[in-house]
Amino acid sequence: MKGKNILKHLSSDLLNPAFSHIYIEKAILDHPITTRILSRFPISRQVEIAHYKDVFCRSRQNYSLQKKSPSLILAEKKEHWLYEGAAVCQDFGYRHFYYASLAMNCIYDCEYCYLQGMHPSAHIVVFVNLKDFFSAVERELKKHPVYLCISYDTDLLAMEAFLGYVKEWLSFAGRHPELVLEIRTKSANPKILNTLNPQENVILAWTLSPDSIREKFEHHTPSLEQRLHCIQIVLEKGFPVRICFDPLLYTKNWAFLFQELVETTFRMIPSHRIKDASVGVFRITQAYLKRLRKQRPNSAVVQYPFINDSGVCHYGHELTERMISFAFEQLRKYLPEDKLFIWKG
Amino acid sequence: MWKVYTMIRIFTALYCEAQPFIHFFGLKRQMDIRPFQVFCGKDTVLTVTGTGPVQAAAATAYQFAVYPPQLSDVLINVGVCGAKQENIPVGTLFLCNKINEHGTNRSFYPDILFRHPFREAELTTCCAIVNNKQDICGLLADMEASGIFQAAALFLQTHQMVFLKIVSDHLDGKRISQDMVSELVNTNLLPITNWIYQIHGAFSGFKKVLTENEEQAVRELSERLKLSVSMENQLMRMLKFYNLQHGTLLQDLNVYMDINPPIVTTKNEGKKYFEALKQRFT
Ligand code: SF4
Repeated sequence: MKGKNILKHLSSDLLNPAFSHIYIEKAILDHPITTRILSRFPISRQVEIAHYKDVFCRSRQNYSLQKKSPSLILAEKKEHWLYEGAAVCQDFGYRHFYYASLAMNCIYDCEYCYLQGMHPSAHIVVFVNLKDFFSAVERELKKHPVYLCISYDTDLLAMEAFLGYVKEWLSFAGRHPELVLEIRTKSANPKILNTLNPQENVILAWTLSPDSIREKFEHHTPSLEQRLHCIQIVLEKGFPVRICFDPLLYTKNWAFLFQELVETTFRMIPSHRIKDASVGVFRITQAYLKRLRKQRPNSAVVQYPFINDSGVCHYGHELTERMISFAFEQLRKYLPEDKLFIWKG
Repeated sequence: MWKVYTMIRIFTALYCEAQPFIHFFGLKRQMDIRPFQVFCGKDTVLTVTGTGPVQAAAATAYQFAVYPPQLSDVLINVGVCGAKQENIPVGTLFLCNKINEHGTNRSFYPDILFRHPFREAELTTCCAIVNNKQDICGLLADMEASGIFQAAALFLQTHQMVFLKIVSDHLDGKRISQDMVSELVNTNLLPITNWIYQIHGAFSGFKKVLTENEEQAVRELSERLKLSVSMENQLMRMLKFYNLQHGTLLQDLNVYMDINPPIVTTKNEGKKYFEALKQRFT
C-alpha cells in the first residue's frame, strides 16, 4: 500500500489548518517583515530554526500531505536574488529576462505544478529581506533595462493579504521606469486589487483555465469567472494585463473546453484592452515528471504517457502541434498576431 | 514471531513507561526477539529501547529490520521527561515540535500535520542526566528522542513520527519510582490512544488506479502481444491514464479485443497491435 495514495483520502478535519506552524530563522526573528507577517497569524505556533533548509530540505517529506496542511517558513535569502530566465520559459521578447524567487511554493494545489518536482517540501518559504532583492534589481538596472517575473515559483498575489509584497514592488517599479515587472497569478481577491495602484511597467498576468479543469486539477484556485472579474477590475484601474492559457492540458474534450474558455474570456474582457496573451501546451522536465508521478499516482494529468525528448516530456509533436494550432486559431479571432505569444517548445 | 502488518509503532525507554500500553493494546512479549523487549498485538509493535539516545537508535533500527516499514505506519515515542520551568505541573503531556540533540547542536523537526489536543514544546535530548538547566534548549529534556528520530527518519516520512513527553520532574535530580512513572503514563493513556486511533483510522481507504484484476489483464495482454518489458510498462501507463480519464478500462478493452482479436504470432505483429491500441486508448 502506498502511503501517498492512502493520505489522499484523509479527511481534512484531521489535518491542521494551513500555517498552523510557522518556522522562523533565528536571524530574522526581529525583522520588521517577520513581525508584520506574524501579526497576521496570532494563533500559529512559532518554532525557531537555524536555517530554512533544516525544515524545507529534510529527506522523506510527504509533499501531497503537506499540501493539505502547509506550514510557513520565514527565512533570509543570502544569495541568488535574481535568476536568468530558463529556456523553458517565455521571455515575451525582452532581452534581459530574469525572475526572482521571493517565495517558494504556493497556497494553491495544481496537480500539474512543476514545483512538486522541484522542491522536497510543500511548506511555503517566504524570504523577508525584500530590500536585498530591490538592491539586486537596481544593480542590474545600472547595466540595462530589466524584465523581471516576481511571481514565478509561487503566487504572490494570492498571498498579498498577509505578505504585502505586490504593493511594495509596485512602488519600487514606480521609481524605476526601466524595469518591467510581470506578476502572474490565479488568485481572485478584488479587495486586495482595489488597494493596488497601477503602474504602466507592471503587468498583471492571469492564468486562465476552463472550470472543469480547475475543479479537477487546480485545487483551491478561484473559478474562471472570479478570475475574469478581477481582470475587469484591474483593467478599469489601468494595469496592463496579460492572459496566459498555459498550461494547455490534454483531456478528452480539450478542444471544446478551450474554445469555450476563449469565448467566455472575451465575452467578459474587451480583447483590445489586453496587452497580450500567451499559450503553452503542458511540458515538463523528465526529472520533475518522475517526482510528480510519485506524488500523484491517481492524477490523470501527470500519468499521461508523455514522449520524452532529451529530458523534456511533452504530448508528442503531432498532438502538441494540433493543440497549438487550434489554440492559435481560436485566439486569432480576438487578438492580432503580434499580441500572441505561442510556446512551441 | 508474529507476523504484524504494523501501523502503530510505540517506543518507550523503560518497561514502566510501556506497561500501560502493553495492557491497553493487549500486547504479547516476543520471546524469540532477544536484544530488546518487543511486544506485539494485531497492528501494534512496542519496543522498550533502554535509556540513552544510542540505545534508542539501535532499538528503533532493530524494530524496522524485524518489522519492515510501511508508509502507513505511525511511530510514537512516549516517555517521561524533565521540564525546565517549575510552573509546569508534573503529568503535563507535550507533543514535541523540535528535538535538539545536546552535544551535536543538531535539531530535528517532526512534521506536525495532524490536529492534536496536546500542548507543544521544544525538547533537548541529552546523553546523560542533566541537572544544569542552562544546557537545555527549549522547555523539555529527555534521553531518547533524538536517537529515535534519526534512526526512524531512515525508514519513515517526517509526518509519521510523533514524540509525546510527560513531565515527571523539573530537572532537580529528584528520582521518581517506577510505579509513579507508570501512573503518569496511565493518566495520559486515553488522550494518547484516542488520538492514535484517529490517525490510524485515517490511513485506510486507498484506491489503486488499476485493480489487481485490471493489472493482471494488462499483463496477460502484454504477454499475448509478446511485448518487451519497456513496451509493457508503456502499455500499463497508457491504460492507467485511460482509466483515470474514463474509469471503464476493462469494459472498453474487452470490447476492443472482441472486435480486434489479438492474434499475434510474431513480435512484429505484437508491435503493430500495440500501435493500434495506442491510437484507440490515448
Ligand atoms: S498556482 Fe501556479 S504555482 Fe501555484 S500550485 Fe498552481 S501551478 Fe503551482
